[in-house]
Amino acid sequence: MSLPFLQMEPVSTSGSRSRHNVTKPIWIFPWGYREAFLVAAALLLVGFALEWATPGNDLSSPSWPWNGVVGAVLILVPLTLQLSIPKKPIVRWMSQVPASMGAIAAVTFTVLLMGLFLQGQTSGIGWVDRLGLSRMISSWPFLISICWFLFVLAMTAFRRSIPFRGRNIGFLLNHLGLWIVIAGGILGSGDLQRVTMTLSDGQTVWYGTDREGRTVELPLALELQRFHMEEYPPKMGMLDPGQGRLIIRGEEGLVEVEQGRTGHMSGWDYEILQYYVESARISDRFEPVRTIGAAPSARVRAVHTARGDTVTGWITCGSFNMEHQFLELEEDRALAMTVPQSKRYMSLARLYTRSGDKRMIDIEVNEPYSAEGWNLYQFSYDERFGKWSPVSIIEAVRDPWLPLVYTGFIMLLIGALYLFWLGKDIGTELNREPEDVERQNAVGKDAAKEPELEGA
Amino acid sequence: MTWSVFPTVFAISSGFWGVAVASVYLSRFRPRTEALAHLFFWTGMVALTLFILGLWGSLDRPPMRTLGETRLWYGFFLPLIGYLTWQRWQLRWVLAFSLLMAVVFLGVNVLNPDVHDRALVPALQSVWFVPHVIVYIFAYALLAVSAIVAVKVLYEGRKGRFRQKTLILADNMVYIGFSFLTLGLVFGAMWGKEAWGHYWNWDPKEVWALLTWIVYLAYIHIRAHRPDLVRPAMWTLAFAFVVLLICWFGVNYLPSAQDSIHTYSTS
Ligand code: HEM
Repeated sequence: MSLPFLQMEPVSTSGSRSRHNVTKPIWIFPWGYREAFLVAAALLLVGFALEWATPGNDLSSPSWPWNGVVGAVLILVPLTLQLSIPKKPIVRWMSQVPASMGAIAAVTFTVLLMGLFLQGQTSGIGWVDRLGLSRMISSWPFLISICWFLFVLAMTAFRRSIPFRGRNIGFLLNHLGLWIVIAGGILGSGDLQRVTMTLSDGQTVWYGTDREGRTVELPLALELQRFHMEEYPPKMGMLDPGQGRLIIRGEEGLVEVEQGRTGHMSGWDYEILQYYVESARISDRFEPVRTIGAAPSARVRAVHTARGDTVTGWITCGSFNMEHQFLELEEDRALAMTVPQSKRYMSLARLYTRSGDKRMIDIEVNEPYSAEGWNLYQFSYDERFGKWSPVSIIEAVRDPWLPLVYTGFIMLLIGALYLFWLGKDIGTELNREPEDVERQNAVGKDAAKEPELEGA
Repeated sequence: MTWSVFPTVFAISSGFWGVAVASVYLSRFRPRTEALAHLFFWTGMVALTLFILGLWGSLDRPPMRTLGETRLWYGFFLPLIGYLTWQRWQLRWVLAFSLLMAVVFLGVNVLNPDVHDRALVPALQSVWFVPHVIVYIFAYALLAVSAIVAVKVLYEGRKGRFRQKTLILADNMVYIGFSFLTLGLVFGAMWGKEAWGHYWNWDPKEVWALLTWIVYLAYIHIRAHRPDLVRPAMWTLAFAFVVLLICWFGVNYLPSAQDSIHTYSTS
């Protein structure tokens, strides 16, 4: 396609391709940036007005088949326009960069609000909530601007694909890929189901709870065999017991607990004489045990570097059923152990499916398991109990639109490689490399007066 | 092979890479040294690759679980991306910069052997972690330079003239940097699906990464559509970097970030 419409790119307001800077009255075709931003602003205004007028609304994508219908409309309208009246000035304008910039600006504005206001909970400030600023994605301004955005993007992409040309492939991968990701993601959210399943030892659970607290029956059941957690070794630091805080804050003030470790801390030399990963207090000492609630413990000897007085004793971070214990050295110095951080955790469970299958699975963070169209994620556990948590919380997610969105992702990835490799040559004869010559160029206040730059 | 031989491997690789960069710059004056640059670069790569394979074998699992192992992959992939960019776009400094970054990351493993076995928090233990971080490091570096180029064009323009070449440089930087931003965004989304159950959560960090991406997108389109609008385009480019910095450093301080899933503080 020879892009005639770009060559005819008119006297728009923000600058002109002709030497004489003609100012075109607004709303006279051909339109440019000024009209694009006014349209975008008008759409946003309508959006906020609707939002104000309908308090308590909660816009979200309809579910199948209605989201499919919306998707079809979003495809068919631009396609029909480009096939039937591609030469009409308004159709042309809607497939060019100025309209795109307007649409992108409108979407960006709503996303920016999302980035500035805490989302998902009411702020308590009247006008903020009334304008939908604390839940942008389900608000009118977002809905309207994203529709306009998708419309313009589809107009752009279809214009370049009719007729199809091989050299436009990079362009199409990027523009169609992005369209698929955004449309698929938003419409797909109408069919997205996310529920949590709270598993506890020996119970079979075949339902989940969604975010609104409703119970959802699943085509599968899980029976927790064991919740398993590995932890890092705990750390030791010098505490000011009166203040209840570490003398040296942060990681630098802490050392990993390890048998035989020696070192120096805030005026004291220490040696870790004994370290148990899991232990329990037995009168005034600790012994290794493997019972529920066992906690790490260490026997430490500390010698005051200057005075030479020695203190020896046990420290532990404790657990839900064992109290923590410092080793007091002097009035404002005590050795203390931190609660270990988790290294990995997982649920070992028996999975039953509706089709009669029965197998043992493990579900770990970052390693979901899929069955019956649902993905199962290790979501959480009862943090009060740490590694001894009696429950494990699994999130089950069903997203039938995922393959479509991933198709878009793949297109975007390949499109990005095109962009990297071809640079400005990507899919266009218009943007041929400008001659690599030095020129005198005034970037004056009115850059529009520099028409020769592209060798017009 | 274990970490005990790593200091030697580090010395070999960084030594060869250093000579490679020197040869690249020398080739301006003596074109023949460029062949040497390739040789030295690949020798350094081979040494590091052998070490990674050896470590993989001795661990009996892919070395991707600890902080030290993560750095190993930065040190492996950053040079490759830099090399590719240099080959395609003749940007010497990109090669030099990527090799320097690689040496810094690998150097941390030598100077601070403790990090070898510091395992990552569970959410970060993923095959997506390394590619996600690497493409962002690379994109941010290029886009930072593009911002400098933009300021240069604006400054030159103020003095009445600017070099067309500088403008082309800015465009190339952005095209390369933006393509890596896209990779980062998509990798991040795919990782999010594995780790949190959904590819997009409208988390503040994601929102700001998207905003950053959009501003560079605007730059690309303004430039493609109206190459004569140099000044607005350069302001867009400089502004884009401000948004990028907010995304990188500032997000944690915004009120909207109160419950971001992307802050990995050690509590
Ligand atoms: C993945 C994201 C995107 C990338 C990588 C991208 C890249 C590009 C590039 C490199 C060009 C100029 C080269 C050429 O004319 O072939 C271009 C043109 C264009 N883009 Fe995009 N773009 C993206 C998203 C968008 C979006 C979201 C819109 C609109 C909402 C849009 C609208 C346009 C328009 C109207 C043109 C001019 C079309 C033409 O000249 O035929 N692009 N894009």
